[in-house]
Amino acid sequence: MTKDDLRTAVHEFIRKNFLFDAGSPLTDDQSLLGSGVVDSTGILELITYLEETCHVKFADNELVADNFDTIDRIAAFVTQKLASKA
Amino acid sequence: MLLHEYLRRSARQYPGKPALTCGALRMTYADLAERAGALAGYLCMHGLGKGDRVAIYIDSSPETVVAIFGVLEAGGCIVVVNPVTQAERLGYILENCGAVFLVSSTERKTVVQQALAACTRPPGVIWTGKGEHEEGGESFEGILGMRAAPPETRLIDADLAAIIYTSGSTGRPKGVTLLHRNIDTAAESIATYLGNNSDDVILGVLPLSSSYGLLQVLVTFRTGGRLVLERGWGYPYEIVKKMKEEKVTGLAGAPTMWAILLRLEGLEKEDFSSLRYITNAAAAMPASFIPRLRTVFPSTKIYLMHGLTECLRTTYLPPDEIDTRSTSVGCGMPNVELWVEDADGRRLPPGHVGEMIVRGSTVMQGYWNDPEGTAKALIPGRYPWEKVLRTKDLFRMDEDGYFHFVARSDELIKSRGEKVSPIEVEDVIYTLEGVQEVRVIGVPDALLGQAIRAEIVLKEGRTVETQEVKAHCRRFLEDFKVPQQIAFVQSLPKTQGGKIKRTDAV
Repeated sequence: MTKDDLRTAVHEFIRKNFLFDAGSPLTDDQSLLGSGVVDSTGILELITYLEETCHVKFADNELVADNFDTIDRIAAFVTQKLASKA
Repeated sequence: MLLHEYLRRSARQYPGKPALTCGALRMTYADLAERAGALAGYLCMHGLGKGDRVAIYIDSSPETVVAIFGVLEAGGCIVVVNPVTQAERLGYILENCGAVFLVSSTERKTVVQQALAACTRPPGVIWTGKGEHEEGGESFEGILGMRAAPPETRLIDADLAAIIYTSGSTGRPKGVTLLHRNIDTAAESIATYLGNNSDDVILGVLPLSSSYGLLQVLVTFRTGGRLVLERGWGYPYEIVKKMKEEKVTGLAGAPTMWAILLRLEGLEKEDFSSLRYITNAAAAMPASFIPRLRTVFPSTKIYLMHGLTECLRTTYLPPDEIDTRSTSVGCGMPNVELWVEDADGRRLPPGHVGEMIVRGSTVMQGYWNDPEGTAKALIPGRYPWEKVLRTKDLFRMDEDGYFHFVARSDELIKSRGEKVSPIEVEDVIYTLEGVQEVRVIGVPDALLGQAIRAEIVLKEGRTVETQEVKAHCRRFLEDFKVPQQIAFVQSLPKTQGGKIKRTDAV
């Protein structure tokens, strides 16, 4: 899965599960918690989705905002994680 | 004491002491008080009157704290709105409380604009965040930069301080109306039993729109401690990191948060020796959590508590009583009187189950713009002038005056520690094409306390997908109100009168 594939997948997941107004802005550098797109439990749902879709398991100490707060960060972190697995 | 005096007094006493940590940002008491004063000065210059409502709709951030104290200092009434609130509900709240100003962030522009469109007299918007000058309305940073002189407020403790919106059984959110003295009484009692002091470092992860989260902020500044603010507990490992880095002494949470925290591996090896206490409220702490909490936090006191927005806090269980009274939420906190009553209003002796009634200065003034709802909740008290609060929570009191929770007397669902009105969720599902009948109930869930289950009867020949129902709910409801379980059924149990029953469910 490339970085772009990941970005697309995360966009789709968030639009499908959290945002329904097609007009709602969702940019790659937008803070997901900060902009109210998802709440604490929503972040955990997103992480579970990524683990299932990408067949990875994140360590507890990887579950931090630096890795998951924006779509850009998610794409970068998960790509790196997949590369290290391969 | 007036609530904004908490910050003023601590700023006089400890001007250079750190008051607030949020991410990399650190603010001293003097910094924070200066910012709050500047906002207060601006609001007064722009016509904010005593008791005028100012809605605050941003995630937990330094701006939220500045806004809370700035509005209070200006003599206004804070209305902190849950950051995950959607446009429809935000619009309802703004309209219902008649907000004069709204503080929000540019990241929330779309939702805010939709909400404003529903207002007959839209509030003036003060924007935080990037691009704040371009959106129409004022810029938060710009206002602070004006450094307006703090106003001379002539408030008394009988003035309006906060309206906290909470889900009511009728579906629409109810605005719990609180005066300075209601909140101050609660803050003083809480600080007393938790032993809060200026050495405390309190980690705030709960939404400041809830009374539980708001009180944590207020109590910290009242006692000159330091607040470490986090945007929720979505990244549990960050909470652990913060607790260690900042040497946190106090943490408040709800069962869902403890469940997620306790799932982390290797917690026993971490050093939490600075953590003096943790508190639990919003829903009962499952007894099974206690041994693990003790293993992870061996030197920490665990306080089990009960409260409701309408009177902020009722009970706490002294930590050394947990083993002997594990099913109790404790006895009345200082300065409140509690008892249980039967349906006819008679006080019940120990051992009997009845509704908890609350008497004291913490009791709300009523629901904003809702005299009917107020009359049901506040009933005549001991003296002709007095009102006491019906909690709708059923309790049993033991011989020693400790309260044991039995159930909600109405049908509110408690999921993730939040109150969810089944009617509100049903109303939304009913608007979905193809739905004939629906009932929404709470079912036991280890993580959520109660999971929300929607049982739907479809119109003949119609098909609706589970995902469609969830998507529809998410469009109109906050995340925590969206059902986790959707079941399509042939029929629903009814009462003799033909009303759908919400009891005897799965």
